[in-house]
Amino acid sequence: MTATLDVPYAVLAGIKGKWDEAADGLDGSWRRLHKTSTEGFSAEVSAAVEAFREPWVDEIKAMALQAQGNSEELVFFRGLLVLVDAAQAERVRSLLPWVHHAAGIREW
Amino acid sequence: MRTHLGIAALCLLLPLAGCGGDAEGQQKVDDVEADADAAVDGVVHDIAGALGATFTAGKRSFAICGDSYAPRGVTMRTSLSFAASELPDGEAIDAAAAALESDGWTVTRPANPAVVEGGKGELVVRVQVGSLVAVDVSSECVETSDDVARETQDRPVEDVAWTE
Amino acid sequence: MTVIPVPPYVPAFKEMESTPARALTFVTNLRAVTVGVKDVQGWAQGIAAPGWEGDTQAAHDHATTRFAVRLDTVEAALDRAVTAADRFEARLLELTSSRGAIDAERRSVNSDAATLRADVEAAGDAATPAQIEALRTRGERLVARATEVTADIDAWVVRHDDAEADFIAALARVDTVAEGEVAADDPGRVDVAALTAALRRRRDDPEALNAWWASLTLAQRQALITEHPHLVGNAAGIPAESRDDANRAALYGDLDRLGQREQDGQLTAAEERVLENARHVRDGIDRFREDRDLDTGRELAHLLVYLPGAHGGDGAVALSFGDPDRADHVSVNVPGLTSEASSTAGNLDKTFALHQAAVDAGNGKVASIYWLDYDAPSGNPLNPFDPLGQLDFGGVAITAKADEGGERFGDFIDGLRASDEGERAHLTAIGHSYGSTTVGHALQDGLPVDDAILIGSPGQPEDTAAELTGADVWVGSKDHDPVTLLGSGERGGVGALGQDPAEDDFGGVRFETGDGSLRVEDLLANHTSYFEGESLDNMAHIVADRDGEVTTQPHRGDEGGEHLTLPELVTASSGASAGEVVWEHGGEWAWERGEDAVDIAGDVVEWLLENSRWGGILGR
Repeated sequence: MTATLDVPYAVLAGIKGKWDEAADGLDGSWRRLHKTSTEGFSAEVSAAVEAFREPWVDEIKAMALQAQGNSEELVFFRGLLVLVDAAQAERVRSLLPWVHHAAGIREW
Repeated sequence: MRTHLGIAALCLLLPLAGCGGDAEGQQKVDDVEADADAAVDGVVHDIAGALGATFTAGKRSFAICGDSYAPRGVTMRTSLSFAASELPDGEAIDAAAAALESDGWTVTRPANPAVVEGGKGELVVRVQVGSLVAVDVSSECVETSDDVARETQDRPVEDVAWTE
Repeated sequence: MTVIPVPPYVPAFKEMESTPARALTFVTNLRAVTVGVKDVQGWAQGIAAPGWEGDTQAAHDHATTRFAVRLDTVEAALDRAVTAADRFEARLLELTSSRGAIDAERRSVNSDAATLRADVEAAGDAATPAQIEALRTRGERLVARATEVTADIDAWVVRHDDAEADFIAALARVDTVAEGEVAADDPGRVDVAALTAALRRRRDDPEALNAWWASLTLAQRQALITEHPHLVGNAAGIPAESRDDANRAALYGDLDRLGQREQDGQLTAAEERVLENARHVRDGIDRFREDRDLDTGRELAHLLVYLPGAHGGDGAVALSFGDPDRADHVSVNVPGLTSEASSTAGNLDKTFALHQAAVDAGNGKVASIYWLDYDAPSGNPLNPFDPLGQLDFGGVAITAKADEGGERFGDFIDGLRASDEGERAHLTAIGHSYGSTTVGHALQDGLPVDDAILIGSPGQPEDTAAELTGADVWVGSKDHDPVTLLGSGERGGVGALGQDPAEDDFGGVRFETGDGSLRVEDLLANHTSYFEGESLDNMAHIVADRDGEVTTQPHRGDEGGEHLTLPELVTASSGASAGEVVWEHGGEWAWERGEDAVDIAGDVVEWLLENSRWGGILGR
């Protein structure tokens, strides 16, 4: 069984690129935070900076992966969005702008 | 004769075309670098010793002398930073001037009492004191071919080694 | 027995382990991270369910909305950390500055105490009562000074330790995701949207913008900087330090985002250009990374304009050595033809050379700015083989660019005036080559500067300095710089860009630059070497308001100011070089064909006039 989503193709194609960009943006951010040097700070300040840095590197990295995963959820073949079932169609719909949150899903 | 003339005219018109020898220009750059290294190892160490100033960082970079369409050559700048001297500023500058003079540099004292400069050959050593001590070893324009000038400017900023 | 009080040696005090320069690097990185996160969060929020803080099932099921909410937590934590780090940097700057003053006094006390000890020993038993009294008075004063400096050191140490403790505590308050969620829900959180609207309303009024910015809290400023770095960084009237903070955040944010897209092979052509320009600007800053303001310990460089995609992709950049808001003397130099972000490195070195020379003049604090935020004509106008060098010296476009550039320059200078602190700074505008024409157009529109320096100028839009501006006008013009012979004057000149300012009738002060070499291959070098030698020293004296130290040379048209016209210069210089070329490049050949050699100079000149841009300029 396959499904279709009642959303213009341009919206679907555009949002894939946007999730890709989001992933790239967050990738750049966590990498910069990760390599932020504590050189030139006292030992106490360095320890505080490291304690702050680590959880947020992990969090931003996780969100970058999520954004990348969202982009990969949108698979196209010959100009059509490929959806295997209604469940996937719902997942994809939730990655679109809110104005499309009630877009119709049809199973074939 | 026309061929000769064409080449001659091209060279006349265009430092733009980079008719100067690459090898010769590169050698000049290498020589200036070697002179700067010798100055760092020599008179700059003397100055740091006289001031009791501790080395913190050193960098070297190059920039073209002219404009992008006519680079002319490069200037070299080696900048070194030191923690503040134990001496009062005036005494620190006097001590730096004495160190330069005894190493054969021609000393200039500009109007700013926190600065002293020494010149030798193509190099100038500039010492400025304040909450830290800044020492520059820089060169006048070293003329090269355009290609050598651009390649030299594009070299990444380098760390300068400091041996106690 | 008489006792002369001499204070004990006051030992060196605590070195600062955490330095302002390192704090600046850290907070710059943190801001860039925040910019990247906010970019994505802003996009996600824009397509999320409206009122997404709500908990309706539909909104909750909307993955994009959940994504935006989760990223908002990161943003809130980063905002707090940036504010704390910025405050820490400011306190370290103050601590460095005050440490310098206290340490100078400590060293002076120790030096004076050593002198006093020597004087006491030298006076020995033979000292007269008057001498003893004088020594005792000196000793008592020194003891008082030593006591005071010791107290200052103790107080400084307390302030230093407090600064570190406060920063550590601030970071500790947001070092878990749960604490980030609390920060995100804080009802006192900065309302960036309202602040952005308020900023935009004041964008065309630098004075009002500056006053409004001063009224904001540190957290509000930081939130704005990381939300809209390009807007804050390039707004006239925002203080230089904040512009620098914002522009660096934008720069490193761009490098991260576009660098990542480059790795993924997703860069568009426009993004590629932006990334290339961003890297040029970063490299320019890196060259001066270790240069410090010797009073505060802060990095000397301030990035005042950063627009990597501006002007058709050429990019815009302005970088100051020193803080212009706190300097006594500020200079801004505008480069000429072919300038774009990619030519930043060489231009920064020239500006830095001027900065050091003006500092050497010893007349107060100096800030020296390189400004390139106009669409300078591209290509080499003097090179017939450069396809980009197809400038139309007779066309309208070439003056239009200078006029538009002049307007932008005026806006920038208005911003500097608005953010200036303390006594009004002495401000000098410098224009080189086509940049001098751009500065001329700005002067014509009432540019509020005290001095204007026009070097290598191809022309000015007014016939006299008095018509151009009320500022003092200085002119650096080498007679063998062909570009300076383009302006109209008594002995000709195309005049497409206006009047030659080196002429006597113009009424500027022509400072000494020398004439430059007459060899044709050096003509461009003559045009590009004003930031060297006597010319540089003279500009430094003007910038530092040491006008009495400036050396002059006769105007064109005055006695002693005789000069060649452009055609005469091309002919004479070609002739001068041809002999050398024949000798250096073909001595043997010339010897064998002695009868031909004399014709070479003439042929070369003819070739130049027919084939080069000179021919075009001269209408041949």
